[in-house]
Amino acid sequence: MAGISIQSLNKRFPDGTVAVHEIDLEIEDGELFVLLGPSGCGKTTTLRCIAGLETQTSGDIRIGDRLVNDLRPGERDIAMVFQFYALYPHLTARENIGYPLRAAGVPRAEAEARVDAVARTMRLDGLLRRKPDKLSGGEQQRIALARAMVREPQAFLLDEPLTNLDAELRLDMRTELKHLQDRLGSTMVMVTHDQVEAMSLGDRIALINEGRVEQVGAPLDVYDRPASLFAATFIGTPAMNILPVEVDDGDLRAPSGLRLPIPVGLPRTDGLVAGVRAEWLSVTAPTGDRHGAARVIAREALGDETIYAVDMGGHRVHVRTPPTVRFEAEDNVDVAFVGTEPRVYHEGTGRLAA
Amino acid sequence: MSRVKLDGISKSFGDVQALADVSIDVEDGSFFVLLGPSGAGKTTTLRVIAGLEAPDAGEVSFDGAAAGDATPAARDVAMVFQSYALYPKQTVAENIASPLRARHIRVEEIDKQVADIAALLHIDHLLDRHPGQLSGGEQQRVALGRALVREPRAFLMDEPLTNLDVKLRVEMRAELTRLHRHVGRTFIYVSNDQAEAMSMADRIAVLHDGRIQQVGTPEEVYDHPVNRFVATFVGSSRMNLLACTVQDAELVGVAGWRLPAPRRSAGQGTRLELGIRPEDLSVAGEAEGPHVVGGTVYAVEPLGDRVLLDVQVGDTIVRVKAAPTVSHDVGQQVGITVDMARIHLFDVDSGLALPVRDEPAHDPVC
Repeated sequence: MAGISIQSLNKRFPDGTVAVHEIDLEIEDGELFVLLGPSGCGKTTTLRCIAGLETQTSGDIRIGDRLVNDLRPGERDIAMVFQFYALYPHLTARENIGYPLRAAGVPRAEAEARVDAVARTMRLDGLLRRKPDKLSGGEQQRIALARAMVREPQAFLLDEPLTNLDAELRLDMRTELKHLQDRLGSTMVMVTHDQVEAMSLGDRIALINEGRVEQVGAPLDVYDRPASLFAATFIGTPAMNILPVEVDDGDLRAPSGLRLPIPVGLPRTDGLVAGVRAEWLSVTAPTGDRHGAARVIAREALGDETIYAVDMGGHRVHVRTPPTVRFEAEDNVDVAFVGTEPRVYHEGTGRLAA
Repeated sequence: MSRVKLDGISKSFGDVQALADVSIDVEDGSFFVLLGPSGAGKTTTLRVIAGLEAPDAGEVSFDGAAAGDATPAARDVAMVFQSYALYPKQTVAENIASPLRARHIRVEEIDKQVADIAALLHIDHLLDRHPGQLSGGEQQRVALGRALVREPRAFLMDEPLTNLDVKLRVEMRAELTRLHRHVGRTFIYVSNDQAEAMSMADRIAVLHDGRIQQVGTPEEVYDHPVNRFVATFVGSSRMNLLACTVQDAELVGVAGWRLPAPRRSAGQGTRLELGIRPEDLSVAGEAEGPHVVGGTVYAVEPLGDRVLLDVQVGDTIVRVKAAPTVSHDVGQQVGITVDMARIHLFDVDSGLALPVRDEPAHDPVC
């Protein structure tokens, strides 16, 4: 296994579209690194450049200590996995796993030994004689992953591998992938537009927006400390609340008299907005002290939690509560800040102010 | 007014039975969601209500009057589909007004109604644009506007948010409940997304294989599922199921764990499945103790506001929703504490929920 280093990567398509702009990434050996972003942000183009399926306009890509700019995909020693479930229906599990080795002309005895080794690692031993239609969805997924692993590549590149699975299988496969990666210590680069998938799987996440890296960090860092307004609103469901604030008497004053603590080092300037996660707020019956007065717009009881959408001086604010908190639409409530401190951004640039 | 009632509806297409004895009673003005996986019969049910399909048996009635073979128009219901089907060459205003123009209403009256609806949907600034210039969410609002302008007795919506991206879908959920409250008419809404159903519905009917599994409020369906299907289909992180048998007032897991059997559970030797939601489990200090099941950490999935801990217990992966600060290593031995007040028990063969707590039984179809 090897790390991947990307320096000043640019990709401009013949029609003039700039898909990737000056991207630098250091992907460490053995980590699961996620490229996350909305469709059209350049994440898949970046992955395809690593794979050698696209040629970058400029910039360097290294896999391990090898510069691969001029190498064809087959020479880069990486495995590209598009979707996990594309197994050959007429081949047994063993034949499916061994297929890349046969195609590469690996001697039979060695190929058999490697298939056995991968099957043991992934606990597929008992299933090798079956054909895909005799396997459960989760087993098919493991076989597809085993097929990618049997070549023992330097790194795996995964392009939205879970996207087309049904909801239940997606959850199981996410767990399976996370478990395997953790145990095997493979370098994996995964592209997804699904922020929950990115959070749950990634050792680190690079959030990409309009061809540029918006933020790189561990999932909880990106969640708790989004580096920009884009990151704040892209990651998390519901999205982070963004509220205009003014510095006032040692507090930040948000709409409807909601008071927030001032983060250390905040400049005294105009045009600030605070980012407040739904779980950093609480709703209670009104106390009449004029701080954080709100009206319930909608109550979403999701079973394990309830999300309230409330109106605070014309701003729609989401609050996450335990399922036991019960208010109805149109009820008057008080909203209070119960987190540590909000993030504060410059509204104009979208960058973190403190 | 429009209370919509289905009584014993059955419908087959060739050899395939799409609906079997479907009965529901939708209160006037309520937001009613038909929830189920694809192929469950949700859309067929909606089409029977609309009069687009004739049932083989059973009856649809509106406010107590049988609909018989009344045409969709005569039933005065409005359908909203997942594809918006807007007229591309007409402006937003013309699209919304199209059902009124067909009725020969005066121009000033049409303009006023269109303006009112557009304001309600927050699309009043888009009235002169064409559909091609709008985002998916805006187009969906225009399609809703066109349905609303008719003031029908009921709105039938077939997965209208499916084609929107996740973020927009979540926003539109709150928007639709606000809209429903404002227009105060009956909404019957088809969805395969349990979060959508939970968050919007006054009541939910869960369908599976053409049959109604359970009808109830979101809380009833979530907290008191009548069978294994409903239990595992509803909930953002699927309910954990653990095979066990009843032995001497204990539930004994196939994996070796033991928990006290609820007083009302089945007799000695009965094979059951213990159902418990991820948020009703927590990680204990050690792998022994009362109400604790031992296992090995299989994977750790941070979700931001929570962390999902996947723990291997025997051959089963048990998911635990823990505080985001909880940190464990893969391979570590942990104990999972079970909130015994929140467990469910299911009959292995029938999948039916068995009484666990001393509380009034919930009628599966009420």
